[in-house]
Amino acid sequence: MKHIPGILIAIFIFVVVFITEVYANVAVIVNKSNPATDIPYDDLKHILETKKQRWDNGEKITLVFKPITSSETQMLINKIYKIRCEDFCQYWMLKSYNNEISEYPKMPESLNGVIALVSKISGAVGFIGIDEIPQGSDKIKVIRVNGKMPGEDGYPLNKEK
Amino acid sequence: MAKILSIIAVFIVVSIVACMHTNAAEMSEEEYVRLKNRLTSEFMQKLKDEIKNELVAELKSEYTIEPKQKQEDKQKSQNVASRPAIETQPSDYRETHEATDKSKAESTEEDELKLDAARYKLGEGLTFGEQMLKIKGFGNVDASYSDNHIGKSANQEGNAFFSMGEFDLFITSQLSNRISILGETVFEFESTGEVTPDLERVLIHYDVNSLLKIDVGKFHTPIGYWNRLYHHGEWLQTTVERPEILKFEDHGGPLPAHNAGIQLSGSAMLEGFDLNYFFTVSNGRGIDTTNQQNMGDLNDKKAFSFQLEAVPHSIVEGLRFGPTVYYDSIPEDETNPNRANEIRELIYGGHVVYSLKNVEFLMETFEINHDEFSGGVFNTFGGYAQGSYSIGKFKPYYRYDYINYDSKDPFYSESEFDFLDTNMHTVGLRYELSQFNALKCEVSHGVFDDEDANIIRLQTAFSF
Repeated sequence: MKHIPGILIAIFIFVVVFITEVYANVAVIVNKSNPATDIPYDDLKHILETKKQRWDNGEKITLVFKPITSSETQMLINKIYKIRCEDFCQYWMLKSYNNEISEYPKMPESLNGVIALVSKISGAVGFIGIDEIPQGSDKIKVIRVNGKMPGEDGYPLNKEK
Repeated sequence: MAKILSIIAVFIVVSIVACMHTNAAEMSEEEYVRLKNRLTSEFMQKLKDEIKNELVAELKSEYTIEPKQKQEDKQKSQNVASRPAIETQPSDYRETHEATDKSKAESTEEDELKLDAARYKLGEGLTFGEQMLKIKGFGNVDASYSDNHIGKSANQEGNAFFSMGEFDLFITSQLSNRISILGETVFEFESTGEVTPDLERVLIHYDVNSLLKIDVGKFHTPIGYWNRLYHHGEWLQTTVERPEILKFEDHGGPLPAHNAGIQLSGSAMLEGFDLNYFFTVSNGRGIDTTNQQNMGDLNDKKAFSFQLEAVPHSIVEGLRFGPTVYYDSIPEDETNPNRANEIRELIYGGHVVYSLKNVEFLMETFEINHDEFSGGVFNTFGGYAQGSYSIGKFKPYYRYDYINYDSKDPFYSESEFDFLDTNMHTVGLRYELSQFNALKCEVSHGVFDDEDANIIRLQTAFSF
C-alpha cells in the first residue's frame, strides 16, 4: 500500500510526458508566391476540412501533411478533424467517394518532401514542426494564424498541455 | 685564432655564393613563368570547382530543402572535409566533392521517388496521366444464415449461403482545374450465375466555388444522410447491410436512391456553424420501384429534392442535422390496371448525426406520401437509429430499423418485392483486419409483417 502514491505519481509523470510528446507545435507553411500572410483559424479549419478548397485568388489548395505517425499530423487529426488516427485514411477515401474532393492531400515520407512540395506547388499549404522551419528559404514562408506566429502566446496550433 | 676566423669567413662566402647560384638557377625566368602558370591554373580550377559545387547545390535546393540545423551540419562537415583538401591535395578534394555530389544526386532521386509515392499514402489508388485518372475499388463477400425466408433480397435463395457481394470500380479524373468526372461501376452477381455490370454513378462535376458545385449525370439522390454519404463500397460503412429503409431499389428499398439529372450543392461557412445544401432536378422514378429513368422520362415531369444540413461546430463538435424533401410524379403503368393513375410522391424526413472520434450516432426518419390522382392517399413511415463506439480495431454497433408500409399503397403492393413492415434490432461487431480490410459480424432479430426472423450475417469488406 505504501507504494501506491509513488506509482500514481509515476503514472502522472508518464501521462504528462506522453501528452507533451504526442502533441507538437505546428507551423503553417505556404509557397512564397502565395499572397496570404495571416489566416483566421476558422479559415484554416475550413481548408483542412476541404470546405474551402481555393485561396482567395482562386488558386486550388493542396494540403501537404507529414506522415500520420508524426506528432504534427496527429495533432491536426486530434484538434481539427476530431477523428481517430486510424480513420484518417478512410476519412479521405469517403470524401473522394462522395465527390467532395478531386485531389487527395499529399503525404510525403519526409520533412524534406513536405517542404519540397510546398516549394513546387504554388497553392500548397504544409504543416510542419516549429523547429523544422527552414531559415532563409526563398521558396516557402510561414504564415500567421489569427495574427500569431508559431510559438507565440495565443497561437491556435501550439501544443496542448 | 685568426686562421680559424679566416676559415669560417671563407666557408660563409662559399655558402653565400652557392646559395646565390642555386636561387639564380630556380628563379630563372622560364621556370618562374611555368610555376606562375601552374599555380594560376590550379587556383582557377579550384575556383571553378567551388563555383560549380555551389551552383549544383543551389539548383538541388529547389528539390531538397533541409532544415537549417541539417544544412549547417552539412556545411560544417563539407568545410572540414574541404579545407585540408584545398591546401594540400587538390585531386583528393575533387574526389571528395564528386562523391558528395553523387550521394546528393542519389538522395535527390530517392526523395523524388518518395514524392511520387506520397499520393498513395491515403489510399488514393492508382493514378495515370495528366488528367489524373484514378482507379479505386471496393468489394465484399458475405455469408448469411436466416431461420426464416422473409426479409431477404429477391435474388437470394435458401437459408444459409455464401453470397458474392458487389465488385465496385470507382474512377475519377480531373479534366481541368475545376472540372472532374466520377464513375462508379458495380458488377453484381445474379442468382442465375450471370454477372451484370451496372453503372451506378456517372457524374461530371463543376467546382464553381464553395457555395456552388454543379454535378450532372446519374447520382445518389441526396435524400437523408446515408444515401448521400455511403454508396456501393460496403467497406466504408460500419455495418454489413444498409438500413432497411435505405436499401437500393434493386434490393427492395422503398426510396429513390438513384436519379439522373442535375445537382447543385454548396456550403456556406457562417459564424460558428456551416450550412450545406443539396438541390436536384431529375427524371425521377419509373413505373415501379426498381425502374430508374436514366435515358428518358415517361411523363416528362421532373423530380425535385432539397436538403439542408446545419453543422454547428462551435456549439457541438461532430453534430450535423437537417431536413430533406423530395417531390416526384410517378408515371402510370399502362399494363397494370391497379396502377392506372400517376402517383404524386412526396417524401420528407430528416437526419441527426453525431460523429466524433470513437463515437458514431446516426438517426434518420422518412415519411413517404403517395397520393394517387384518383384520390387514394397512402403513407409509409420508416427510419433507423444506429450507434457505434470504436475500441482500437473493434467497433461494436447497434441498429434499430423500423418501417411501417401502407399495405394498400399500389406502388409498393404491385412491386416484384415484398415490402413488409419491419421492426428489427441488429447487434454487430466490426474488426479492422488491416487498413483496407474489415471483418463484420452481425446478428439481427426482426419482425416482418408479424413473422419473426433471426439472421446472422458475416462479411469481409475491402478496398483496393
